[in-house]
Amino acid sequence: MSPFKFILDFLSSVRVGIVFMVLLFVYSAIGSAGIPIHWALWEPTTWYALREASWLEMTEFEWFHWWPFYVLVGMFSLVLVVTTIRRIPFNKINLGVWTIHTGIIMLVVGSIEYFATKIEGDVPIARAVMQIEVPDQDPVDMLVMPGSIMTVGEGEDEWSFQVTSIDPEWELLSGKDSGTRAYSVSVAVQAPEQRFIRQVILGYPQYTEDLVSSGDPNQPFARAIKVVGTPVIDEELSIRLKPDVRDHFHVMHSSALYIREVERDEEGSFIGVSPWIERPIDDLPRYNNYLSKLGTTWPFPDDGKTFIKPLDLRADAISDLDPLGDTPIRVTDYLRAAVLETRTEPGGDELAPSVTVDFRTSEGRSQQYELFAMNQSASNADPSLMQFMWIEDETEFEEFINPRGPRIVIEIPGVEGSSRTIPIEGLSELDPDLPMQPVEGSPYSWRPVRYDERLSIEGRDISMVRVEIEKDGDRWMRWVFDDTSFNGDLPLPTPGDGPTDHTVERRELDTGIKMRFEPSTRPPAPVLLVAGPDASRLRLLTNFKPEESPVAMDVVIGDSVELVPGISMTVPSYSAYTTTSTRPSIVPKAQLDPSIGNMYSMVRVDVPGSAGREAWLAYHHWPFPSRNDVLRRFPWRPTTVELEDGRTVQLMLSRRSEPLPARVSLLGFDTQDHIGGFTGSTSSILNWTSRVEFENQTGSQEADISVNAPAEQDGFWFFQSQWDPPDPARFTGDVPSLGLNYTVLGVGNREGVWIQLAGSVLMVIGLMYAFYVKPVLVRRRQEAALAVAGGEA
Amino acid sequence: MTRWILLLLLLLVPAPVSAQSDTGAPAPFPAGVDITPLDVVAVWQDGRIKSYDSFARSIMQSITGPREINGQSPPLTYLDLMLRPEAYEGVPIYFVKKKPFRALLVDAAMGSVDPPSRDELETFMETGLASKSLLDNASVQDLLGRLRSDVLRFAKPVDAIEAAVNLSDPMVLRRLLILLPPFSGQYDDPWMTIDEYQVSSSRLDPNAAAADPMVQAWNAVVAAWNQQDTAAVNAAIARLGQVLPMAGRARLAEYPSEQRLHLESAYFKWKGFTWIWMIYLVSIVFFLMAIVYGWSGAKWGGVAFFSAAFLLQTFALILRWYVSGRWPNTNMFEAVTTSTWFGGCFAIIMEVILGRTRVKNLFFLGSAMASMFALMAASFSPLQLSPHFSNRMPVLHDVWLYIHTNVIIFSYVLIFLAFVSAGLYMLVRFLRFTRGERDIREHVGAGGIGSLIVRRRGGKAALLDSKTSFGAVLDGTTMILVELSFILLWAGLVMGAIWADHSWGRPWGWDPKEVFALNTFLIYAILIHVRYRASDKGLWTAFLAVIGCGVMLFNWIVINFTISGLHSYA
Repeated sequence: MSPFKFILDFLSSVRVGIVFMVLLFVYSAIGSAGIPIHWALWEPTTWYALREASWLEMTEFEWFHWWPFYVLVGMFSLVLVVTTIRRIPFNKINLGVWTIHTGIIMLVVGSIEYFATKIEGDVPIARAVMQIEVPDQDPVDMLVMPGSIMTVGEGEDEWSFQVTSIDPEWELLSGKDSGTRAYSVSVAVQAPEQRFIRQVILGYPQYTEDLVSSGDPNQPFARAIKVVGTPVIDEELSIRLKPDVRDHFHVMHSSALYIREVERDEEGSFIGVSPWIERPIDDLPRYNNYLSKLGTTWPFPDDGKTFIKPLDLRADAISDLDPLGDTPIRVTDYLRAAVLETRTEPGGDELAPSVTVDFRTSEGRSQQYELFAMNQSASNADPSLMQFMWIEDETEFEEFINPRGPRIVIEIPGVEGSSRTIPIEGLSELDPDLPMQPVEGSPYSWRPVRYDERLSIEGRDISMVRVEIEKDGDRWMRWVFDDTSFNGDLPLPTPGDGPTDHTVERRELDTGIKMRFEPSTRPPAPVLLVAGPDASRLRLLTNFKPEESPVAMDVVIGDSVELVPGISMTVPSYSAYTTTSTRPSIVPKAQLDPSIGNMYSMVRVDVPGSAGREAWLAYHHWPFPSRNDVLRRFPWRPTTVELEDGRTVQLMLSRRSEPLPARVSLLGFDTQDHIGGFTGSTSSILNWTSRVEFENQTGSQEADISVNAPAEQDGFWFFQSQWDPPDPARFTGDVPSLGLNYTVLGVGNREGVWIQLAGSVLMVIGLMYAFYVKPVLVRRRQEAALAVAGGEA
Repeated sequence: MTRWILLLLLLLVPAPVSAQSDTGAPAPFPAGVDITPLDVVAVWQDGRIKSYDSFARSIMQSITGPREINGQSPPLTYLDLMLRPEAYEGVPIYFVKKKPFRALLVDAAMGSVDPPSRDELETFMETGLASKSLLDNASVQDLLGRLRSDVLRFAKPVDAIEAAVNLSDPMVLRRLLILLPPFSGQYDDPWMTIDEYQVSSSRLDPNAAAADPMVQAWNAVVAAWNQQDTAAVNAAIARLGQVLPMAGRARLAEYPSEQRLHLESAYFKWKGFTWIWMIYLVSIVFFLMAIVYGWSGAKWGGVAFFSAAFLLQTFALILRWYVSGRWPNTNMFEAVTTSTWFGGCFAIIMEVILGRTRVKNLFFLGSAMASMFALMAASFSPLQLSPHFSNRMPVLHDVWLYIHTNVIIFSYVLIFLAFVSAGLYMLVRFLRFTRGERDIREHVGAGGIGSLIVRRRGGKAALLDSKTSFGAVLDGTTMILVELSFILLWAGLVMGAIWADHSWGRPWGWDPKEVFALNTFLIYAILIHVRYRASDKGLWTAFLAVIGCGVMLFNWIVINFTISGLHSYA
C-alpha cells in the first residue's frame, strides 16, 4: 500500500474520528473540571486543576488555545472532511450528514477567526471628573469619588478640597428642573482664609452653591445665599463637573508594568514628572508562587513546602518615552496572593521594645496581643485595660508604685517666683459650690472643672484639665493640657444652650496667666507592663482598684500569672531591641478564595540601575495614573525605586492597555429596581443602564448599555460588566458611599461570530434531516422498490 | 429472567422515607397558637413580596435547616424566637449540615474544659441541631475560628453557622419582618417594619399612632405572647391578619391579592408538592409489571398513578408560576422539577403516538423515574434544592432565559429517559450473560425514529414488529431519545451562545458549564458514530447513553455546586 493511500485511509476512518472525539472529550474535561484525586467528586478539594499546575499556568482560555487542542481539532476536522468526501456519497439520503459535517467545518473556521482575533477587556468610567480652578493656579482634575482629596497651592496659598458626600439621586427642588434627579457632589473647601462646602450638580452648573458656617450649633452649615446673600461666597474659585472620558481599555488576563519618573514635592509626596509608560509582560504566572530566594517574604506555611523557583521574565520597553530607556526590567518572583506586612523581629541595635501577651480565661478562651512600647498606637491592647511602656529611669517606676494625684502648674508671666504647682482637689463638675481659688499676686482666680488623663487622640497620649478662670468679674473656661501649645480659652457654656461649638467660639488666650497640667503618676492602665531601664527587665504592675496601691512583680517569660480569678496572663516573648521590616506575607493556599483571581498578586522585579535593584510590586486591576484617579474600593500603591543616577521612578503592576475604537464617557448610570426600591443589595436591582457617549473622528453618538443589551461601536461590543454598590465607611476618616459613582463596561470584538452561527444552524438542520427526513426517504425508496418488485411479480 | 429484572429494579428504587422527624414533644406554648391568619399577610424580602409563611420558612431554613423545632412549624418558631427568645436558650436550633463537620465540632467540644453532655452531642450528631451554648463552647469557638480560614473546605459551613446565629437574634428577626408598604404608595419606595411605622407615624401624630389599628394589633400580639396567653395571642393574630392586608392594599396597588398570598402559603405548607415522588414510585411498579409481564391491568394502574402524579405536578408548577410571577426555570429547584415536567409531557405525547408500538410504556416508565428522582432530591435536600423564591439576577431577565433554558432542560430530561431505557437494556444483557447467553447482538438496526419507519428485511419496521426482541425494543427507545436530545442539546447550546454573546459580549467563554454541556454532546456524537461502526451496536449504545447521562448529571450537580462558573445560578 502506498503511503499516500495509507494516510488517506487513516484520515477517512470513522474509528480514527471517534478516537479524536474521545481525546477532545478528555482534554476538555481535564481543562475545565480538572482531574479527580478522590472519589468524593462533590468536594472542591477532590479536583486537581491540571492547567493551573506550575508547569502549565493556563487560564481556561489559554488551555483551549494551546497547540494540543489545535492539533486535536485540526486532526478531527481533517478526518471529518476526508471521511465525508471519501466515504459518504453525496446524495439525497446523505444530505443530512453532509450538512452536519459542513456545519462543523464552518463552526471550526468561524471559531478560528473568532479566537485568533479575539481581544477582550474592560474600561471603568466614573460619573464625573471635578475640575478645580483656584486663583493664580493651574486647573487640576480629580476623579469624583467619596472621600477624594486634592490640595492646590502651597504654604499660605494652599487650598484643600475633599469630597464629603455624593448623592447620585439628588432631587432638584427649584426652578424649571424641579423634581429632576441629578448627580450631586459636596466638596469641603479649606481656603487660605475660610472653610465652606460647595455643592455642584452634574449637568446643572447654574445650581452650584456654597454652604457656610451658620453660627447655629444645631445646624452648623447654612446655604450661603441665606447667610451672605449670594449663592457662592468665592466667585474666583471654579469647581465644575465634567465627563470622565476614556480612550483605552484594559485587556483581560494580561500583565504589564507601568513606570514613570517622579520627584518629591515640598511636603515629601511624589509627583509624576513623566507619564506612565507601559511595558508588557508575557507569560506571567497566575496560580502558583515563584520565589527566587528565601527571606524576601515572611515565612509561610504553604502545605508544609518551602520552595525556590525563580522566574526570568523580561518586561522590555516599547516606548521611546520610557524613563529607563531600553534597559529591560526582569520579573524574578510572583506571588498569587500576598499582602505587604510590617513585622518586628528580635535583634538589631535599635531600642524598640516589643512584647507578646496572651490572656486566657478559665473557660479556655484566649486572646493574644503584640505590643510596642515606642509606638503610641500599638502600645496598648485597650488603653483603659492594658499598656506596655518603656521607662528611662527607675524613678518613673517608683512613681507608679507610690503615685501622686494630678496637679496644675500656674505661672504669672513677668512675676518672678510666681510659678507654683497645686494639687487638683475637688472638681466643680462634681461639686458646683467649689470655691474659686485666688492666684496670689494676680487678679486671677480659678477652680478645676474636670480632668481627663492619657486620652489617646490620633496616636498621641494627651492629658488635660478644664478650669474656670475669673478676672475682674469676667469668667471663662480654659482647657489646660500637658502640652501647653494646645491650651485654649473658651466662653463658659450657658446652661440649656446645648453643646458648644468650640471651633467657632474659641476666644483669644489670655496671656496674663499660664497654666500647665501634670497628670497623676498612677499606672495608666489596670495592667501595665513596664520595660526598662535595664533592657532585660520586664515588670508587671496591676492596679484594678484606684484606692489600692499597685502591685508590682517581675515577669518571667512563659510563666502564667493570674490577674483576677478566671483570667490569667502569659508573656511568651519580649525583646528590648527589635528590627521592623516590611515584606509580603503569602496567603496560604487553604485560605485562598479562588474568586479573588489575581487581585492580590505581587511580583518582584529587578530594576537595573536602582539602588536596591529589587522591589515588590502589588497588582492594580486598573493602572490608575494617580491617587486622584482611583476608583472606590481599589487600592493604589505604586512602588518607588531610587535610581543610582539620582532619579526616582515609580513602578506599578497592572494589565495591558489597548486603544478603544472611540472615546467613551458616561452620561448617566441608572438602576431599575424591584418593588421596595434600591436597597444597595444586588437582589433589589432589576437592571443597570449606563448611558454613554461615543466620540470618534466622524462625530459622537449616545447609547444605552444595560445587561443583555450591549452597544456596538466600530466593531467592538460594549456591555454592562460591573457597577459601584453602596459602601459604608471602612476606617476612621473614611466617607461612606451611596454608590453609583462609576460603571465598568466590558469591551470585546467578535469577528467570525456569524460564520460560527451559520455553521451551528446548519448542524441543527442537518441533524433534523438525518434523523427525521432520511428514514422517510429510505422508506419511500423501499416502498418504490416493493412496488417495482410487485409489478414485476 | 423477568422476575429478576423486576426484583432488581425494585431494589434500585429507594423505599419511602418518613418526613423530617421533629426534635421533641410540642411545648405547652405556643403549641396552641394559630398563625394561619398571617397566611394572607405580605412581607417584603429582598425586593420581593412574599406571604408571611413563605418568608418565615425561608429565614428559618437558614437557622434550623430542614428541621422543625419542638414540632412547631417554622413560621410559628420565627415568631416565638423573636418574641420569646429566652425559651430557646440551650435549645438546639442551629442546623449544621455535614456530618464530618459535626464530628469535628463534637471532638472539639469533648476536649474542652467544660464539655457539653454526651446526650447533647449525640443529638447533635444525629439531627445536626446545635444549641447556642454548644457553639459558644470555647474549644468549638477556637475550632470555628481556625476553620474559617480554610476557605475551600470549611469557610462556607462556618459562615452558615455564624449567619444562623446572627439571624436568630430577636432584634434581627424583628428588623426583617417588613410588613408595611410605604406611606407614599410608590412602588419604588421602601417598605417598613411595624416598629419603623410606629416611629414614623408618632412623629406625625403621636395620638393617632397610638390609636392605629395595626400598631394596636401588633402590640397586642407582643403583649399576649409575652404573657403566653394562647387565646389572646390567637385573637390578636386574627386581628393583625385583617388589618395589615387592608392597610397594605389601601396604600399600594401592587400589594398581593389575598388569593395569591393564600396560595403561596399553601404551596409551602404542602412542601412544594415534592412528596408526589411517592405516587410516581407506585406508577413505576405498575409500569414495570406491565413491561415485564405484559399485563394490561398493570399498565392501566400505572397510567392512573402516573396521571395523578403528573396532574399534581402540573398543578404545583402552575401554582408556583402563579405565585412567583414567572415561569419556573430560574433556580436549581425549578430547573430540576420543570425539566421532569417536560419529561412527563413528552412521555404522554409519545405514548399517545406510539402507544400501539413495541415501545409502549417505556416513555411513561422513564418519565416516572425522572420525576421520582428529581422530586425525591428536592424533598430530601431542601438546602441544595431550595424551593424558596428570590429575585432573578439581572442577566436572567431576558427572553433567552425561556428559550435556551427550557430547551436545555428538556434535552436533559430526555437524556435521563435514554439512561432509563439504556440501563434496562444493560440489565437485560447482564442477566442473559449470567445465563450463559454470550453471543447476543440485539439492536433495531436503523436509528431511532428510523426503526419505526424503515422496513426490515422481514417487512415491518423493527419497533412495529412483534418479533423484535425486548432488548432491541429498548435499543430503539434509547435511540429515539438520543436523537431528539442530541438535536435539542445542540440547539440549546447554540441558543445559549447567542444569549451569552449579547449579555457577556462573547458567545463562548469556556466556562465549565458550557464545556460539560458540549462534552455531553460529544458523548452522544461518539455514540452515533460508534453505533455506525461497532458490531454490538445495542450494548455500545446503551453504555454510551449511560455515560452521557452521567456527564449531564455531573454538569448539573458537580459543576454547579462544586466547580464554579458563570452559570452558577442555574
